[in-house]
Amino acid sequence: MTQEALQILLIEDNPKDLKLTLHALQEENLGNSIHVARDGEEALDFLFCRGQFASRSFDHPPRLVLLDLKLPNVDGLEVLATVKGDPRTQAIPVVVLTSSREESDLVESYKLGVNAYIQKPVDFDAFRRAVKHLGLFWLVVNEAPPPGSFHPGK
Amino acid sequence: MHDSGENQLPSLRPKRDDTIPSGWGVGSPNRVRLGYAIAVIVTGAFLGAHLWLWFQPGLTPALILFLLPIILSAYVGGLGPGLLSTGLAALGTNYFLLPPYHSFSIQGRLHSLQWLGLIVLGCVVSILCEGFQREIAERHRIHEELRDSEVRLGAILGSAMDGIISVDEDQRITFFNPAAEKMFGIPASGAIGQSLDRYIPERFRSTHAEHARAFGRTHVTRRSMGKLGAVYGLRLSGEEFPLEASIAHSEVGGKKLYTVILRDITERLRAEAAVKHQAELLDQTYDAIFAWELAGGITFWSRGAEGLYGYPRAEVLGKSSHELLQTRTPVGVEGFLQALQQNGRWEGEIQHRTRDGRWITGDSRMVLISRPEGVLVLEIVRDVTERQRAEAELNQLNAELEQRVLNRTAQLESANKELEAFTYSVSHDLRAPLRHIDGFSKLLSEEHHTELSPEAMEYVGIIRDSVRNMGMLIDDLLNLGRVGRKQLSIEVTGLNSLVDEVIGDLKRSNPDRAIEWRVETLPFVECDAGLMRQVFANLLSNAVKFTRPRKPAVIEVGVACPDGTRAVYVRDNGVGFSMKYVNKLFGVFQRLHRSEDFEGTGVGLATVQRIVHKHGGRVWAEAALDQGATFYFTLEPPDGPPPEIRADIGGKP
Repeated sequence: MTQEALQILLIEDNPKDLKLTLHALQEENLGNSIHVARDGEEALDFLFCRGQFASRSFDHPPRLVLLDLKLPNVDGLEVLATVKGDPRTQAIPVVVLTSSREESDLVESYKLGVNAYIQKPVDFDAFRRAVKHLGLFWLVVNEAPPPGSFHPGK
Repeated sequence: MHDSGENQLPSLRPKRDDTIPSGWGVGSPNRVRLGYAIAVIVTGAFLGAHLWLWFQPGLTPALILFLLPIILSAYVGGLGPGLLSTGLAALGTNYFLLPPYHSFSIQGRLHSLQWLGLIVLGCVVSILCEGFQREIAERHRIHEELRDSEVRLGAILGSAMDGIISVDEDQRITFFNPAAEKMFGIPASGAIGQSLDRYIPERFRSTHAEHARAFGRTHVTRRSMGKLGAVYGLRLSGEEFPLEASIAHSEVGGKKLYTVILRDITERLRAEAAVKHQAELLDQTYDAIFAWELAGGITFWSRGAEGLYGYPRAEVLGKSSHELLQTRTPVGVEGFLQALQQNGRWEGEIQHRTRDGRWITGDSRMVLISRPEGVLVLEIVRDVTERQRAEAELNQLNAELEQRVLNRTAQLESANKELEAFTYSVSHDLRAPLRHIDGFSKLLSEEHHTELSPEAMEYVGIIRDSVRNMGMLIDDLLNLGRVGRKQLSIEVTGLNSLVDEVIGDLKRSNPDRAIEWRVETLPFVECDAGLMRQVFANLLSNAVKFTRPRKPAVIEVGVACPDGTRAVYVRDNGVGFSMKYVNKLFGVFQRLHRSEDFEGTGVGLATVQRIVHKHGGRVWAEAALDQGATFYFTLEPPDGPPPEIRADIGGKP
């Protein structure tokens, strides 16, 4: 998986959810361009090119971040706040994909600048449809910013 | 007039007979002058007439004739003119008629005796006339005085406010003054001569006459009858009225005369009764009401005052209220006395000491009342000791309550936070496993259907059905948790579709049960559909559960009006329950059956009740042990006429 080919950063701690989500993404042929982070800290390291991801470059951000809210260590809302609060990463589309449909989560996410909020349906068919639409929209329909346009050096 | 019993009162009409001008009365200077004139003129005339008519020297003159002018003069003018006339007659007869003539000497013994006799007689006559005149004058004076006195007395009796009546020994009225006329409503002319009995109520007549006679026999001349008991008069109109009377008796000309003085006390008794009534009214209140003279002691002391201070009335009258009660006020005694004199009133908080040494706090109101006898202060004290204590207690309780509310609010806030955390957890964490079950079941049926038998495939379907139901249930539970905080999401809902959904679930989850479902056409109602579905899910699953021993089980859903309100009911022919425990039925975690017989958490009916109450409705049950149960509920909105139930637009699908 090269950096150029990276399309989606999937942040998910639950292996069963991960498996179902990956299955759904693969059905839409999006499986090969996914990087999975299992907690918030790893996700931030990846996005900010530090720690084990120090070799990464801000020039090649993911086209889409799928973010679960309930994460160990650094939780989803904190990840969202950090990404949207930093000029180097704020342009990256972040879609919250979560079990929670608490109003407080919805309100807080939108305040922090989330691009979309999707509650994972219990019904797997509905879930699959949602993932398919997501992939199609953000990776095919939506235009990403030019590569490197948010590099700190520029 | 009480001691003037010798006056015969009825003769009091003024009868003035002033024929003699007062200037010509007996002994008056005019009359004396007239007497002197008569003495000179008439004596002279007699002398002249004697000389001219029959004087002949040597003839014995009739000196006795000269007594006539002397008597006339003395009669008219009294002693002076009489003596003058005597002197003139003596000198005239001596000089002209007795020899030697034309000299003042007398010849002959007979002449001398005659002449001296004339003088002596003239003097005697003059003196007698003078005495007679004096007596006449005295009599006249007495008569005049008596007449004046009668006139004055008449005026007094005529203008007296009291009725004055005189009666003789036979109780015949001899005098009746204007006040009596007014009192009895009859003119004096109609009363005089009549019996007094006419003016005494019949029942008192005999005793009155007896008393009067007995009184007449005594030597007491006056007596007040009012003191002897009630005395009543009788007006011409037949009306009785209370009297105060005094009686006097006297003897006139050997006859007894009784005079009674009567006072109509109707008004006074009425006023006294009113005052007494008012005093009694004052006694009715618990407030202490008392009056004291500004410069003196207590004059009135109500029963309320007796009760409040413990001093009986007799003990306080005449005493200074400030000293007795040790009055304390924020302004001091001088302060309110000054205010009273300036404004005529004072109101304020006051402290008084009771007879048993307690201090009480009162709201005092004082009013100054000016009366001819002196300035009086009416004071009304309401005991507020207890009220103030209660207020203080109330304030303290309020403060405690406020603190408790604060504590409880803090607890509730904390509990709410916990509940929210729990809800969040339920919403997030309970959903995840369901999603996994559904997802992997789906993958199983899609990717491994070749390895699964049709039966296994059906089970997978059932698994996914149940997962869906549980997902909804989780949502409903979360909704229920928010019921207290959130408004219902009311929408028009066909109850039949809800019931059918629930029955479908139940049929799937109880495929081996033989249940006869009888569902009537149910109405469309305004309700929260999710919660109402839960109502039916709970009631119908209960019905299914408790009809397990029945073959076939019969479960009915319909509409009935058991007490005038349209209610939806769910009826089964299950094991029922004893009505003895019906009050426990809707309690949380209350169960009426052993769990090894019938499983359950005991939350279902509590949930039903909460939802129905939230809709403003009512839920109740009728049952008998082993004879089935019927659950009713209504969904009346709290603010109005029914229902709930609109037209049966849908009917059963």
